[in-house]
Amino acid sequence: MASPAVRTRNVVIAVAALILLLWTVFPFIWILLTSLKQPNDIISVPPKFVFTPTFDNYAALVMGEQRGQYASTRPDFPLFFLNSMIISVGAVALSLLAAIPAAYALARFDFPLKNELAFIFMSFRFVPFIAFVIPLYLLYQKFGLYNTHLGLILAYQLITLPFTIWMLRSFFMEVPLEIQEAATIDGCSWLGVLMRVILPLSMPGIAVTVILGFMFCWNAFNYPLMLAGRQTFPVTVGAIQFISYEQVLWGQMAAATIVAALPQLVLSLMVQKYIVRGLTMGAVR
Amino acid sequence: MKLRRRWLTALVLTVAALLTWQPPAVAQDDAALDYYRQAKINWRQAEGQSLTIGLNKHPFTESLLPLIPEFRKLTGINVEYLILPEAEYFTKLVADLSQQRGEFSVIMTGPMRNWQYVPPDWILPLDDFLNNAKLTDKAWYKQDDFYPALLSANRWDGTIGGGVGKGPLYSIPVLEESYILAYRKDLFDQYNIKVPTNLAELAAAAREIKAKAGIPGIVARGTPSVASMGTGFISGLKSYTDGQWSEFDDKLNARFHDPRSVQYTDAWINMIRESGPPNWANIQWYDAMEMFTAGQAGMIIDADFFAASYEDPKKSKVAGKVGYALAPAGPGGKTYAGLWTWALGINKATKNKDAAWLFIEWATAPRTLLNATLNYRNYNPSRASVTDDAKVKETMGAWGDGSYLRTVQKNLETAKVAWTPQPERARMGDIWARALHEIYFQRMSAADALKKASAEVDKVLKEADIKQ
Repeated sequence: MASPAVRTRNVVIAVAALILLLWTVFPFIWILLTSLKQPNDIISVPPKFVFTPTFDNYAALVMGEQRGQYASTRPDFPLFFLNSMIISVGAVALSLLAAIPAAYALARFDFPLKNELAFIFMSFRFVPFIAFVIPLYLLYQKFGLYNTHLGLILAYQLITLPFTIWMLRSFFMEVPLEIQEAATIDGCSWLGVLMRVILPLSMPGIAVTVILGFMFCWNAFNYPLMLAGRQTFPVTVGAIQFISYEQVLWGQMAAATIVAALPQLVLSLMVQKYIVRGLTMGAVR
Repeated sequence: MKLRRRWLTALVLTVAALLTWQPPAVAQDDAALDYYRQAKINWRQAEGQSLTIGLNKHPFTESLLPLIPEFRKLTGINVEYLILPEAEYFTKLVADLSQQRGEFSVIMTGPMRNWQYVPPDWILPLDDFLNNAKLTDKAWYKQDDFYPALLSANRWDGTIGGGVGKGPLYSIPVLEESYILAYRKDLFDQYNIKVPTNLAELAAAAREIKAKAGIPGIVARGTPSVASMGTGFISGLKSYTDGQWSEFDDKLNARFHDPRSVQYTDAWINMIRESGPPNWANIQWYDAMEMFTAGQAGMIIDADFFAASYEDPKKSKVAGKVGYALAPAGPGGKTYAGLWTWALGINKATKNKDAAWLFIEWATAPRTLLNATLNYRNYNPSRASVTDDAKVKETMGAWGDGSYLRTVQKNLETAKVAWTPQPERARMGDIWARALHEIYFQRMSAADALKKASAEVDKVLKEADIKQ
């Protein structure tokens, strides 16, 4: 039997956690409710929590047209979703491929200008997108990369590559040097050390990096807006197409947001245990 | 087992059906093609060429998409398109125009946008296309059918600080947008309030609505951006000064601190603070429109065609309860509302210029524009023949018991583009809007805030080498 003081403390913590949870989840719940509302319920004042739900907004996403007369719109949402998948998966895969050797080198080898090089990678994250996008726009038009998945995957490297290198570098540095030395003594080459020791031991970190990189790609807006066309737009650019001239289709936009958030949600749940471990890796324990 | 497989088959078929489902094509009857073929031009003169049209998300645009196959059948021109909401559309368009890539052949523009595109020579004047008998059958196209105020708004002679309505025509209007007063007729009748005809009466009516009906008396855009300035506020200011005031004197000195401008601004902001919504400073166009549509405001002075939303019973709580009137007049008894038209223009860098013009001629022909208004709610029509169509009259004519259409047409007699052509309009508008916030939050008097705004705008124009 816990003492009254401890019990009070537990209640306070529980209430605080509940408030924090509501605070965090409320926007998501609100979008979910909006996605199930009719237009007149959406703009009603005071806001409605009880209403007759409708799946019209979701149907409109798939079928490309709002049922009923008040609006017509064809945002090709299934195509945008597919585009987001192709581009995000492609960009993260390419980043991993390039970043693993780079991070390994930066973590475990000594060579001239090592830190400067690492900093240059990082600096791509500092530069505002507009500094890259106009030159990229011109180059892409010239080389036929404009409005292609490949072009976007390459452009997304500006988002994912520096981040992936730095994340992986810190995870690789966590692997105790002694294990690496033991492997070397047992006859592992530098490649063998990477493949047999460093990578397996860094799996949680890699999982976290992949998830975060995927999220950054999935949420990217400016690069695809400028470098993609109707055939290659991802969901982010697709969702804003519900803003029209004399009205905003909040219901459909909310439905699009919910559907667009699903992959991230599923991915996060799948690797949840890795995320918790990965996020605390490198911290003082 | 068998049952499960059948379910699976059903599921796969359903998904496949959903994925391949296409909206039913609009009947491509030969009547439509016959109509266009009456034009005495060779529609197939640019056969085999390709166009990319870059358009703003808009009911007019929605109306064109299903008809594109029909255009291809008529002309043999291939059309690819890209459609984005306004802000993103202009970002992408300016990138294309400034790099002279010619990605978009036909663009969606309008008076204030043209002032930005004409000086660097990005868009083509259209008069040569209109006057070329090989490309345009004038008798069939009926240019005179467009409201003169709208065509004139799309003309500009290139002068910084003036010249609107003179010089070349840069774009063909596809709709009319001007600013009128919409008010809750039911509440006005119930509380016996008179429809305001000047600023003082407007403020009094707003006060009364708030006191008696318990909702904000008036709603207006309020975000600190140029987008808040160009509709109800500027129309009121123009009217208050009998159309005499503009942002600059003839030497391009800013005149926001002109005494009449100060008086008007002070009265307007007092009205908003007293009877407007408490979150005025965050209100965007759609917030304002939706507040009125949801029955949460007594009056609004904004785009006339918002009426299409107010009067839509599917989402409006005030359908059938709204009256329309001219925005309050000045001492001279006249209203001088601002004006905007969405319009189609041609990118100078495009390779297929004649094909681009054929597209515009087709897209702005009487029948095409009638379809846009009848079936896609493209309000208000830019052609008189569309407004006069019996079915259109049935819809628009019924709004506000006929007060809508009467107001819109009366308004067009005096409405014109409120802004003065100069390339820094957006920055100037932002500065101006921030001055309104200073006054609203009572950090500065109207006189001081507007004087400061004038000084800032003068500085911006000097830095941009627009004025000495």
